Amino acid sequence: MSAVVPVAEMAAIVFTDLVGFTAYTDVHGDRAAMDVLDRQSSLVNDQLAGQGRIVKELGDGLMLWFEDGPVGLTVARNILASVCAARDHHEFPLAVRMGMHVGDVIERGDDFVGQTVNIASRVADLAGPGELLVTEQVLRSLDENAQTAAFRPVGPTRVKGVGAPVWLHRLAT
Amino acid sequence: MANDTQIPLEVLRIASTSGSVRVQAVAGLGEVSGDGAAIVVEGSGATVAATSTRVAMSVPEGLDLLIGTSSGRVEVLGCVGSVAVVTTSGKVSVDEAMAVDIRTRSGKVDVDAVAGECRIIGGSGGVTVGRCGPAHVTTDSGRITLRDVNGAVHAHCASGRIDITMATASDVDAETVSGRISIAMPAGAKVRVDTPTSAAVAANGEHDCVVTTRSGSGRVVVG
Repeated sequence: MSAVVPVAEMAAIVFTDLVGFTAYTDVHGDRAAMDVLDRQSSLVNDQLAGQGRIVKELGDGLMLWFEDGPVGLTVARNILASVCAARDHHEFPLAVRMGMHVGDVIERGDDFVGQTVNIASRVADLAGPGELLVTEQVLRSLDENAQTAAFRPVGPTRVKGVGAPVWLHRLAT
Repeated sequence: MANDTQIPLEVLRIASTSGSVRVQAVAGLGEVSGDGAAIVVEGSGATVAATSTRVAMSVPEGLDLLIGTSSGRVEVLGCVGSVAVVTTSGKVSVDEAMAVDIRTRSGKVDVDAVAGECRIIGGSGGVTVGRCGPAHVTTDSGRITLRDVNGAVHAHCASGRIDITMATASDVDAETVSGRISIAMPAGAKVRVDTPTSAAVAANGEHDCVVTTRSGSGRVVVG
């Protein structure tokens, strides 16, 4: 009997993270922290609208899947704008930071694995409050100059297990 | 290394796996030169890819820099264009730049002067900036010190102290969950303060700028 070889498919992966969530929990307590997570899920789901899905929750962060870069980027920008607007109107207490990468992923149950996922996670780690960082590969997946023009180069980073540097760009707001 | 195509260099990209990076801007210099790795010039950009070594470059003044290294000190001397640095650890210092974007997990950051935007995403190391334009500075636990700001400020620190001295009356948004916030405005500035724990004298009615501070448990002083 031959083993089934998992098929790698192109996808866009986005990670979100709430800045200062642990400290917020220390000050305001677990119930308030849970309310923040519920509100975050609501804001994200409003923007997804069937154009991708939440793969999993990671503490105060989310891992999102999209079928390609342009769709993923559009939704990611909308999520960022939505959270920033809620924060400006004192409806959400924390800033979000986001990282995005496109490449091959392998589906494993409801999850996705592969270096694309690892790189997207690392990119999110480098984002500041209210920032969306993307890799060079995300910009290459776009065909609209108007979208790429909105980004500023940030520099290269290294990801464990990835030989080449990963070049990053920040969505200018 | 000469740029054979005679296109003026606009940006130098340095991607190192680890090790220190030192860039010295020199007035009147027409090309990029240095030790530690090969330089590849393509169009208006030059790229240096180094592995586990010390990189030392001399560049023309005003050149934009994109620098990445996993560890090791990053030092930018002289007057350069926009500087972007991504590193994990190791101190980052910049003398004088048109704009900076520095990201580090644990390294200390020292910037002397930035004509334009100053964007620093730090971790546990402290951040100190001298003269700068609009500033966006974030750390996890490192202290934030902005000494001479000409523009709006967004400063966020999870547990460290924030000290800001404004050269002009501009909006400030400073947030720390458990540290102290201290903001000094220029004399005569009419400031509207939006904070529940402010010890400052706030001007009502007409104002030049708005200071918004949020501190979970630390003291807030605006003056």
